[in-house]
Amino acid sequence: MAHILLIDDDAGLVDANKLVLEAKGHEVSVAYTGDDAWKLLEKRRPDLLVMDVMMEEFTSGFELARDVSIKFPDMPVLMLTGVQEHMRSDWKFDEDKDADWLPVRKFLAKPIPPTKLAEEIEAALKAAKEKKGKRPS
Amino acid sequence: MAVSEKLKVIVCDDEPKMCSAIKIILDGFRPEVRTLGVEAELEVSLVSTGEELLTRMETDPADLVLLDYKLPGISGMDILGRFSEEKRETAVIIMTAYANIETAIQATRLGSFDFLAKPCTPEEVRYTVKKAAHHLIVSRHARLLAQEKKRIRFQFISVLAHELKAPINTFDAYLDVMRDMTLGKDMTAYAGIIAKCSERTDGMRKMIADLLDLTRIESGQFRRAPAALEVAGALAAAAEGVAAEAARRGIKLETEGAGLLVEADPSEVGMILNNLFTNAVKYNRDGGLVRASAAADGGKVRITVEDTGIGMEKKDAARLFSEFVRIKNRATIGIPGSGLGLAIARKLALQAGGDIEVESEPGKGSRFTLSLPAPGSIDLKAA
Repeated sequence: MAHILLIDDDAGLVDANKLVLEAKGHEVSVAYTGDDAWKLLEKRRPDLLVMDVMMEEFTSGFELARDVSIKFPDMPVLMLTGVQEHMRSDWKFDEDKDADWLPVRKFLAKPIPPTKLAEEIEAALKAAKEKKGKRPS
Repeated sequence: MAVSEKLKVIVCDDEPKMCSAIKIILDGFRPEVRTLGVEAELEVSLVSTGEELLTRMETDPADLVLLDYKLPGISGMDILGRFSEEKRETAVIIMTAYANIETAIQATRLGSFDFLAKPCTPEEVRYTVKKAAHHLIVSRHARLLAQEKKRIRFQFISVLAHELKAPINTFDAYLDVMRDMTLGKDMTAYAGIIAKCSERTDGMRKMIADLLDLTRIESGQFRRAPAALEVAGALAAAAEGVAAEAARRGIKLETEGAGLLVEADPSEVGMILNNLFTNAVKYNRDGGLVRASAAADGGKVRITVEDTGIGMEKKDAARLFSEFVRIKNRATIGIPGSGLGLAIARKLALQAGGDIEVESEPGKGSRFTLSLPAPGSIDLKAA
């Protein structure tokens, strides 16, 4: 079980994702804006963060992801986006090439079914755990 | 004060005297397009052969060319032919000492804008250039306007697509939850999900209705019938419309405005006030207050609708009346809306010769002021 922070301005989507994640035994916190997310992050560090690219402003998600990567370099961030569909761009996120400007673990196209998102979250949590285990402490 | 706009002019003549004479004639000449409030600033350069002109047009195309008919190499008519083949929007004035009707007809067929017969007076040159400048600036503005229209339309449609897609994504997500039987096999466990989906379909339906209203208003298909209308009655009717929801949330409604009249279409005023009252309840706190009053102010009546709700920041208030603007924050997240209501209300108010403004403070409440013309203060035919 992990503590997951969901950040999205669509209350319905957040609710559906929360139901599935809680059913799998995770603890879920919710923020609808970047500011609210930051307040929660400062109070308590989640194990993983899921956010939408477009929140209040077009680039709010990018900015938040960058700020998070500076403050919590190890935190896995999954970014959801409707951008590809919106812009008809065939750009694909490549962690090796793009991680320096967009510090996220995975870039997932919206809409993504909550059960599929839950699988992605499990995989990212597992990867983060392995990475942590390898590192000498 | 006229705005100045540059027009690039090339004079192409093999007689150096003619070239410099025209440059002097046009020096400091600023033809004006009064209807657009634009003054053309002519940037005149000189070339002496057709070949030179063609090279120049490749690198630094002119808006207007004063072209000699008889040039040593490639002729004026050949150049005109080239321009029309290349579909250039350059206006060409053909100048010739061999002024006859055939030349004029030939030049016009090849798309020249005008014709100057040499020798010509400075007045003739300026008059012809002025006509061309007017034509060029008017068509430039028409082009920009068409582009701007396309851009706004594109923006509107992409926002609309986003707004319509959002609820569909929510339905998909909830369907996935049900397919997965995340909450078990008992249907009653899904009652909350079903209620949320119904809310979203209601919201979509409302948005479609608002969109149709907006389109009708913009296309002028709303038949407006302004009449003297009692403010107190209109406020009471709008309050009546939200009374049930206000009572459910313990919100008190107060209306005043006795004895005041406005000159406006009653159904339009109804739409505006409905919107303001709905918002005043929707964004209020439980147990809050909605207070509406009116006061005469010169030739206008100012109707204020105040609430004791969540309010908003100044930056949010500034964009509140634009289409699809909904203020997104923790306080508004559960509140449904199309983001079109206030855009519609503002459009209606402006069409009626009035306006809507908002003052607000986060956490304290908002005050919307609708101003409408008082009877007899407007010329109804003009409005």
